[in-house]
Amino acid sequence: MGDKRPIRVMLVDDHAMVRTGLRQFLKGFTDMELAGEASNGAEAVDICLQAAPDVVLMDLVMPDMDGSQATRRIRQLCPQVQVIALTSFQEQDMVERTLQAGAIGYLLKNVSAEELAGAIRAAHAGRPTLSQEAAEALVQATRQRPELGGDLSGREREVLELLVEGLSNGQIAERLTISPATVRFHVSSILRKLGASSRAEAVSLAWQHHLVERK
Amino acid sequence: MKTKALVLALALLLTAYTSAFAQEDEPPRRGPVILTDEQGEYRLGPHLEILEDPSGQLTIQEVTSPEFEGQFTPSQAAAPDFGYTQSAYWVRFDLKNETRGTDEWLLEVGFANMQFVDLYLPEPVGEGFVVKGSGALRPFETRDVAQRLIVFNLPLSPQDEQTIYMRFQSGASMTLGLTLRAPDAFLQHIRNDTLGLGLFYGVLLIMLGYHLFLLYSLREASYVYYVFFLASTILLFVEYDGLGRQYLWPGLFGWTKIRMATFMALFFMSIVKFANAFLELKNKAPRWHRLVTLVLAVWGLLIPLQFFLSYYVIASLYLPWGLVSLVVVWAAALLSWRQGHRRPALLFLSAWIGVIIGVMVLLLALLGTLPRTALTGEAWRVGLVWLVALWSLALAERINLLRVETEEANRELRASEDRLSQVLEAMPVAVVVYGTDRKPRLVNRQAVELLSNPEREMGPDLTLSRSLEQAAKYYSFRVAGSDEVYPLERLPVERALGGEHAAVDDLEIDLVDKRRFLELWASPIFDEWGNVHYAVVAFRDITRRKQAEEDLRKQREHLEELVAGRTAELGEANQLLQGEIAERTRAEEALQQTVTELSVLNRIAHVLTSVSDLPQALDLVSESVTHLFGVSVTFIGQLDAAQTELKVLSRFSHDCAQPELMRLPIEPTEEANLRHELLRGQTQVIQKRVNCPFLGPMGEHMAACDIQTLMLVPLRVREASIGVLGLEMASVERVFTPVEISLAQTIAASLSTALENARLFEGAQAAAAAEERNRMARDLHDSVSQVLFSASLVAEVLPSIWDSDPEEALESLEELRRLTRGALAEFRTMLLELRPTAVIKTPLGQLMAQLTEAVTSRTQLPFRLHIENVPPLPGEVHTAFYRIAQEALNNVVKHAGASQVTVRLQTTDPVSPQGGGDWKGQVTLSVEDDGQGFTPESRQRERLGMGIMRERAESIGARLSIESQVGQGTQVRLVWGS
Repeated sequence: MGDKRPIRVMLVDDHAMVRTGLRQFLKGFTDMELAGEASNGAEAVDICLQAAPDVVLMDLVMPDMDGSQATRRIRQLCPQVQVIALTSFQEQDMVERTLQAGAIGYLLKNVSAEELAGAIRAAHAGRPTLSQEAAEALVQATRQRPELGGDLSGREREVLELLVEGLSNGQIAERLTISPATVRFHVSSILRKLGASSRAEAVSLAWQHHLVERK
Repeated sequence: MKTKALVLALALLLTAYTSAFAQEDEPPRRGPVILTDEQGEYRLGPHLEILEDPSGQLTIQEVTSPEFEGQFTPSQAAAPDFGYTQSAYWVRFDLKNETRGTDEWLLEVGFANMQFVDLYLPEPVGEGFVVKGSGALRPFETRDVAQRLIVFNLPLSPQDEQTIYMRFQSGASMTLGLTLRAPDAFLQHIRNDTLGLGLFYGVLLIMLGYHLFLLYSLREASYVYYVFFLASTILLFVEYDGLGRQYLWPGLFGWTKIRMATFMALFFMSIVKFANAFLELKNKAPRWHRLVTLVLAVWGLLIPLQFFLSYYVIASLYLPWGLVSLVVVWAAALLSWRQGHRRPALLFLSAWIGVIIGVMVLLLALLGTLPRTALTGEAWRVGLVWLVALWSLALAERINLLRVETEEANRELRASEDRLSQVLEAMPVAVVVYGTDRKPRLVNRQAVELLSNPEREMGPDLTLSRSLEQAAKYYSFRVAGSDEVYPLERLPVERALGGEHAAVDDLEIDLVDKRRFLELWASPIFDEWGNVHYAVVAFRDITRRKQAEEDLRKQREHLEELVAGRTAELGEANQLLQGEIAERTRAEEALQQTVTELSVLNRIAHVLTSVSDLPQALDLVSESVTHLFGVSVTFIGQLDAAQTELKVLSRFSHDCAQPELMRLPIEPTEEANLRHELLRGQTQVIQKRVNCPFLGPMGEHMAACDIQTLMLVPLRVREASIGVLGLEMASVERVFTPVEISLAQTIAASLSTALENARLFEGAQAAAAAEERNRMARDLHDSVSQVLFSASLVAEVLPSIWDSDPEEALESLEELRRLTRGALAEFRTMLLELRPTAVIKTPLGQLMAQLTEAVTSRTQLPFRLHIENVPPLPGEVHTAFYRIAQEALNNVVKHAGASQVTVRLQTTDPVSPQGGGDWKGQVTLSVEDDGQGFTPESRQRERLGMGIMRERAESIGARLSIESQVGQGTQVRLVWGS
């Protein structure tokens, strides 16, 4: 936090009133300054490229490209820019989507000025900030997310372990004393359940998501 | 006579010439003719003294008288010739006999045809003369010497001298060739003469006889004429030589002239005729033939003329014409020779050469160039014989030629006949050729086969002698299929022989153990003159065909029987069918009726589903039902909520003008059963006379049009009755058939659906509207909270701003104020949404202001307001104005990208806020922005919103116009009023 330069903040919101308020808010802090304004996602991307802000306060529900899409674009084009979602919505999927798009923070439009300022500083420092509601939603989402590979049967797990070891279908059949046809059947079911399109991808997923014990 | 003519012709020309020569020959001298022993023959010609007596009346006395004595002139020639003359000629000569013993002398007149000759011998004693007459025209018996020639006995004793007078008169030529001979000499002469004549006539007669035989055996036309020629030649010369007179017709001396003339004519005619036939002028030179015929015709005329004209005239006619005839003949012969018939023509012409030579010899003898001998004098006879002989030869040649030609022709004929036979044999049909004698000439192999039955020894007569009739009997010709004998005249052969082509196919022949049917075709064959020569008949066996025809005929009869039977059956079947057809027609009509009903149903259903205006649809249905069922009145009623009253939605009648009935109560008390049934869903059919008169208002209603029957069909939706379809009938006789009832129920079902749909649609519309409002409310709610959030942020930082920069803090405060104001406006709008009735209660101008502020606060869009005092508007209009303004402003905020918006509410007839009464003005709402206008894409996008605006406008009867140009902003105008 020993950055002398004020943090350049860009405001993205379709509601002019809100932008006015935020504008005024920024005036209240010396270590922040207004970098630019946009009233929709597309504008946001353009101005972001021009104005080169440090942090973007992004409203989510906007016409002509919503907040999460704009976040993704900005994060692609200017990876050094951090995005904080500032929205009225706390739906689970919105939180997920926005965070997946690359937002570093998610705040509702009921935060205090101090909290908002803190989140901006944290984002500039690369630390995420989540509102209570957002954190709850995230926890809920993570809990609900089906564990990849959770629906594999025992036999399928065995086959998967052997796949990971690099055995061919014939060798697997030998090892497990089943017919090669049965092996093939299990393999295709594994691919389906993991959402993999090849054995190699299945192996990679299994490894990534710790579906098999590393030996 | 020809020679005579020739002689005459030439003599006439050469008279002077002759006389000159004659003078040379023997000069005339006077003085007696000395008769000596040494000379037997004395030509007296040169010694004559001649006196012409033109009158012919002089007597001997006169002639011997001195006055005439001196008129005798001495002869100038050996044989003085005075041509044709009517005069008599006296001749005188002296004779002195100096012989020893000859005392009987014979005096011959050279010309046998001298007509009258008188010899005057002096009387032995005294004066006077003894007369001896002779001549061609004097009876032969009176002749001194019975000789063809005119001969006188002339007694003259030796040493005697006498003067002899003679008188000649002749109608023919006057030739005085006198010769005196001693008896021995005379005998000699006679013998020679007779011999010559014998030869001459012998040849001629032999020729005649020979050719008669030939004529009989060859029967050639030329021979006829040749024989004719020979005969006429013989006759002529017999007459000319006087032999006829002597031997044949001595008593017919009076006919001499006739005979002469006629024979001459015949002679020439025969020549001409013969030439004509021999040279075949008719075929080969028709013109000459005609000429020849003309010549003959003239001869034909000349012959009878001799009875009317004198001999002299006749002779002068005949001779020239004879010459003409000869010329014609020679010319024709020459032509024939030139045409190419060389040999016959040559022979013909060369025959004449002999005659010419003979005549020339004679002439030369007469002229003295040749010695006068019996030979030279008669050479012309040799010539004539030559002619006869050569002509005979010519004839023979011709016959030979003809025979050769005939043989060749026969050969060719045989060859062609042979070919014909081969052709006939080769033909696949039987052929028989019949001659006009009805006997066959030719029978080909097929014919033989067809007409034979070897086992029974039957067959055609190969000797070709069986006539047609006999064949008909032999084969028992019958008309096919009957026992009738085939009439001969119908046989094609007979008809062909008659000249027509004929064909029959109904001939049946009998071959003992088999019968054959024949088909015959016959044609005539014509010869070159167009006469039927042969008849050719071709025939073939058609027994099989006949058999087939017979079978066919039998089959056809059988078939006809079957057909007749079948036809009868069919007739019956047809009757049945007719009945069925009638039934079917009726069924079809019924079907047609059904189809009509279905189509009406279809239309009703279509109308109910497609027409958006329900009342209009119901009216259409009422009308259709009225027409379809043929009833007096149809009405559709809707049950009210309490189910006690029917609200008449639609009514149609074409013959019953009742006062409009809007509501039809169904009283529970009086029509309890009816109502109950209707509510249960039962169709009711009420007949006035049956169910008792209608009661209550319904009864009054029915009575007004004298309705007799009423059908009420309940309209059901989900087990509940929502209305009624009513049909009223004024007719007494008609009842509603089950089919009609069922039909009405079907229509009722459609109606129920339609009514329900209308209701749901309204509900849906209302729900949609409510939904829209709710959404808006949420929207507002959200925006309000956001604005408050902004405000709180500003409020939070305000103190710190105030610390650092009071000026800016004031600005911030101002912002804060604006924020809160905006929030308030939106809040109020939200409240309005939540309480729709508040919309109507709030004056329109206030609404507009509030709305504008609320909507633009979000985007902080600058706005302007022009609000005039509009009178109170009807509720729907008021609401519509509000909603349309709302939508328009929302659009501006969302899409226009404008920097300014202007809202106007104006009226044409401003009035005090109280308003009321009949206000007739216009109210105009306009929302204008200076944004980007409607691009085609945005227009598409906002279709729904604009559609809703238009609907609202329409629903209040206002006019909505949206004008927009790209880059120049948009104006939404709503005009309502009169």
